[in-house]
Amino acid sequence: MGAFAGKTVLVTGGSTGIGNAAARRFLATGARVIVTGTRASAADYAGTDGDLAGLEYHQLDQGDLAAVAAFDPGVAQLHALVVSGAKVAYKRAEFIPDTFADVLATNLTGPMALAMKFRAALAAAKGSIVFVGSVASFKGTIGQPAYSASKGGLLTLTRTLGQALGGEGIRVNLVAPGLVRSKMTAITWEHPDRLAATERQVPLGRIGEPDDIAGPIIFLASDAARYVTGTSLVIDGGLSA
Amino acid sequence: MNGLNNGSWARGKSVLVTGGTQGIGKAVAEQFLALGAKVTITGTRTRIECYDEPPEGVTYLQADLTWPEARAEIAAHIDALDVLVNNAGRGSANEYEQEEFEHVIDSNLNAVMDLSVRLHPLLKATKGSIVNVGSLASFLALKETPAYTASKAGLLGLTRALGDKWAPDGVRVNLVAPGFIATRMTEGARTNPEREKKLMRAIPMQRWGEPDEIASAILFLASPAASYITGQSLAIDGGLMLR
Repeated sequence: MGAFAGKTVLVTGGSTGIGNAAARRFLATGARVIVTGTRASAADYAGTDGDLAGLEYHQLDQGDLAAVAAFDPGVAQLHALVVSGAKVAYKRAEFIPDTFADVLATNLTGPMALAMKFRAALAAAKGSIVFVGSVASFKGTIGQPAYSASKGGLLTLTRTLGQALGGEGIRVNLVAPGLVRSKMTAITWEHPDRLAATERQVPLGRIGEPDDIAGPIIFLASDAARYVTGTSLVIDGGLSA
Repeated sequence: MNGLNNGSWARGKSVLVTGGTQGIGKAVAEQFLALGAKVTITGTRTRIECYDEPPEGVTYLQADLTWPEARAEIAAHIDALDVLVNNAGRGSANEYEQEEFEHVIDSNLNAVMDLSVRLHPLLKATKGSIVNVGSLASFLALKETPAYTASKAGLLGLTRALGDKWAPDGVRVNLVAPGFIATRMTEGARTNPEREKKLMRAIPMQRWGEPDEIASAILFLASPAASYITGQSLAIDGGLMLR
């Protein structure tokens, strides 16, 4: 309670899913929370799993470098930058070079651009970055070459920025969720047989919920993790243990 | 539940911290006590008063955990448990001598396995969790301490195996991997300016870690905020392992 009172947090992809769960938790601890999403306005998220009440919403395509450059949410000091926005393409589309490049732009180049854009504001607050990676940061995903390459890249980016920004007092970490119930994974959990097959493989016996990932994100961004940098935390119910 | 720093989850919980008289273990005990938990610690000396500034308000059990009888006695003494922090451990100056090697493995690995198995039924009853204290040696070679290195790498494997094995019981098992922390174990390096300077060059955050910084991560892993995390390790090293 109040751990982030008076602090400012930015969550990209904070309109739905994991990003929204993290944004709501930051809000509950007293933060000013800015979120981005791809839709024109907060009202456009009516009927999704996102709850934007109390959050400052901005439209941003984080894969568009010009849009990232023009993005101005009005922050002089930023205590946490959470990059949760991401995309994935199904039906073998990621084997098409244009689609591959598009996924990389959103999932890897965009996060780097955001980190550099807010570097000074993060340094001013001795803040931290939390990238949302994936278990695909560590292993191949046969149908998604772009998604896994982008998430693998995000892991090494986390390590490199952890080294490069440590001297400025900026910590950089990554959470690596397993299968979590969100818009992006509906293809798996909306199908009862696929869901049951997946849950049999998870030692804790269930797929993750966005809030299962939000807790660890808040931890990594908080003072409780003030000596943690360049690391990754897998949150997958034991699937990869 | 707002997760961090809202410690209401820990109120009234039973916690056992092995090696809880000093350093990281003491910081863990004190953070749990501050949240209203009932904390039991172990130490090797006869009485808690034999330590300088031990934690206050804990139940103290004397135990050399390398003795099976001592582990049995602890298990017999404890009737409820929500969190087990396997923190006790040691290194030796002569780990290339077989007897010393085996003694370190006994302390850092065999004792942890046995105590965890003995206390598993109590943790199953509360859907509790275990946090093992590993080390950067869980991942990297420390060539002067082969037993310490092997034991801490083994502890990582044990964390994964027990995490998988006991997940169906709702018992989570995780590991923290501290880097260079300002404790008695690192006193030698901290009082030698040349060695300290060399070490600090290897750490992106350019400072020693404090016991409290490991304790806060242990509390996180034991908390409901980490309810979907098991079999995992978390490095708390100021970025040391990046280089």
